[in-house]
Parts: sequence; C-alpha cells; structure tokens
Amino acid sequence: MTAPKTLVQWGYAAKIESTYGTINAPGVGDGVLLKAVPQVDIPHWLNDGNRGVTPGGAGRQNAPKSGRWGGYKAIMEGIGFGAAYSAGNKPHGDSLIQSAGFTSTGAFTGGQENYLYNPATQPTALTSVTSDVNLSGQLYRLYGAYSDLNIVAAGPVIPDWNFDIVGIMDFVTDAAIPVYTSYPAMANLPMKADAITATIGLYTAARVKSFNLKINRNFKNPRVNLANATTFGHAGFTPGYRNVQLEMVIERETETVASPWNAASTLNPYRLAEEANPVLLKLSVGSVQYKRWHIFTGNGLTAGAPNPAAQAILADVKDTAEGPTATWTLTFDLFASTYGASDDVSILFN
Amino acid sequence: MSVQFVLPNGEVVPVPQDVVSQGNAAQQGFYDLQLERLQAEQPAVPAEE
Repeated sequence: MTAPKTLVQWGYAAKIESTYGTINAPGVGDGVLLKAVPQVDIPHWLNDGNRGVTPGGAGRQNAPKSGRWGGYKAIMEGIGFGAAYSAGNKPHGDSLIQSAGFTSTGAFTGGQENYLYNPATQPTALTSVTSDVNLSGQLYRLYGAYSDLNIVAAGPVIPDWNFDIVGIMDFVTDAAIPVYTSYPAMANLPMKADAITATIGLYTAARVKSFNLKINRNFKNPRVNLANATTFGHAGFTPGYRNVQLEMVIERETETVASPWNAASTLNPYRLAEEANPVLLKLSVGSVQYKRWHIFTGNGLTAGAPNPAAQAILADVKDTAEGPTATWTLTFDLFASTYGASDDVSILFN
Repeated sequence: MSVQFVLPNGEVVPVPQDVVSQGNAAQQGFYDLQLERLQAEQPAVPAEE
C-alpha cells in the first residue's frame, strides 16, 4: 500500500511574468514564505460543459469543459529584508505585492534605503505572476495571475497580509516541493503591531485597537477570448477599478470643537465625516530599520521616511465597543492627488 | 514598467520587464550597469598641472 498524500507540507512561489499570461516557471529563488497553508480553490471553468436536457427530460451528456482557471488565498507577513535594501535585496514577497497592482521603487541612499509600493498605472505597469502552490505532493500552477491585498492587524500581533489570487490554471501535476532558497532567515522576525504610530490629520494620540487596509481591487474579470487565448479558451483576467479604504478601530476621544475637527489630542469623527475634510493618514508598524513598514496617503518621502498628504476622507463612523470600552470604527476612503495620479496609498519598507 | 530604481543623482530608471521577470539577481546586475553608465557620463576632472 502506498503512503497517502498529505496536507502537512507545502510551498509557495511567485515569479513576475515578462509577457502577460506566458508561464515564467518559479525557481528555488522565487519562494515566498507564507504564514499558513494556502487555500487552493481549483479548478473552475468558464464553460462547464453543460448541454441542457434531452427531449425525454433527462440530462444530456456533458461536453468537455473549456476555460480553466483557479484561485488561492495566501497569508503572508510583512517581512523586511533585515539589512540595507538594494536592487537585489527587497522586502519579502515583493513579487506578490506587485501582483496586487503595485509598482515597486527602490532608492538606496546610504542609511535611507527603502522600497516604496504605489498603485500601478494601467495598463503598462500592471504586473502578473506565475504562481505555484505545492501541496499534498501536487503542483497547482496559476499564470497570468493577479491578486488583491488586505493588510489586517486584529490586535497587538504580526499583521496578516492577505492575498486573494486568481489566474489561468495549468494542469495539476504530481511534484515535489522545491527547496526554496529565498525564504527569509528564521531570525528575521517581522514587526508586530503592538506599538504602532498612527496619525489622522493633526491627531496623533489615537489608541488604535485594530486596522484593516483594503485595496478593494476589482480584478476577477475574465477575458473570454475565442482566439489568441490559451488553447482552452481563457485569456486571463483584466483588473478594473480599485477603491482603497483604511478601517481603524480606536478608543473614543474628547471631541474636537472646531474645524477641521481634528487636533493633536482630540478628534470629532462625526463632524469630520459630515464635512469631508481631507486628512492625511499614516500607520507605522515597527521601528527597527529595514524591518519596519508604513501605510500612508500620498507618495511623498522625506529622507526615506513617509511624508503623507491629506488624501483621505472619513467616509463612515460607527459607534462600537470593546467590552465596556467605547470605540469608534472609522472607515477612510483614500483618493489620488490629481486626476491622472496613482498616489492614493503608499506602502513603504525602510 | 513595474519596477524602477532611483540612482544616486536622483534619476529614476525603469527596469525593463524582461529583466524584472528574471528575478532579483538580474535586477541587481541592471542597477550596477546603470551606476557604471552614470560614472562614465561624469565629466572628466582636468589633471592638475
């Protein structure tokens, strides 16, 4: 009797494609360390082969399927390089972050080395990946794959970087897990959200309970081409609009009594939401150089550190609670500085 | 172009997508070539008499 396939060991890799939808097989240097077993959602077909019913009322024999595609859900941690960034030494998971619709800009002034991720201008800068999950002794490969990103800190923990990935799907094959050489060192621990700094406009005293950055990327739009697609009728996916939102749960505060409804130690979210005053936002996770990372509005940098711009509107405020502690759940909509700009949100590793 | 590097003189150089698709080592090689180009473009310093 042969040993069963198991779900105990797994691997994940993503490699940026040169041409959209052309497989660029990941190698051992393209592994991305995930926090948990990726959830594989495969296979799906654009045409499931259904041919309706017979005149006798029974089901008809199905035809072969067409347009194979699949998806994964993968959870990563935000792990900086742990030493000075360079053209070859990047934040971990750089390819996956780019697949979520971001461009990557590396700057390497001594002592200020950083990588800045901004939303990509479509279509020239969109990045697709070939994405491999090795699980249960099988290889699940997507290509022409794009993703959406949520960064969630539910408490004083290492935040989760949640990627929702879809792509054209290759056949599932038996394969051994590659020995990836690109995983970060065991000792390179990611930053926790136990001492973040948060800025909402002028307000810097927020006692943050949790946060959730949502890119809200509308990207699961299949290209159903009958010619010049794959041999099985799928030409991949076309990302549409994004709607970047940052949700924060903070302890309630003394209300600011005058416009612009935020001050150094007070906040009035009700008036801020009603009057839609633009505010800058900045969340910084960790303080250790080359491990810390930031989410902020705009794309300005000063000496390699975030210089946020007032590009967020408080769209919704809810009165919530954590046990007996009164909280506000604030949802900010982030917007671009000009009509043609892609600077609504930045993610910075420095 | 999804990846770009900022050179020491502030010039922003997009990395060709075929280089990006080859991985980090290839991108480091591209960056090193750009630094060499930058040095070659610097005006020569006249020799002291």
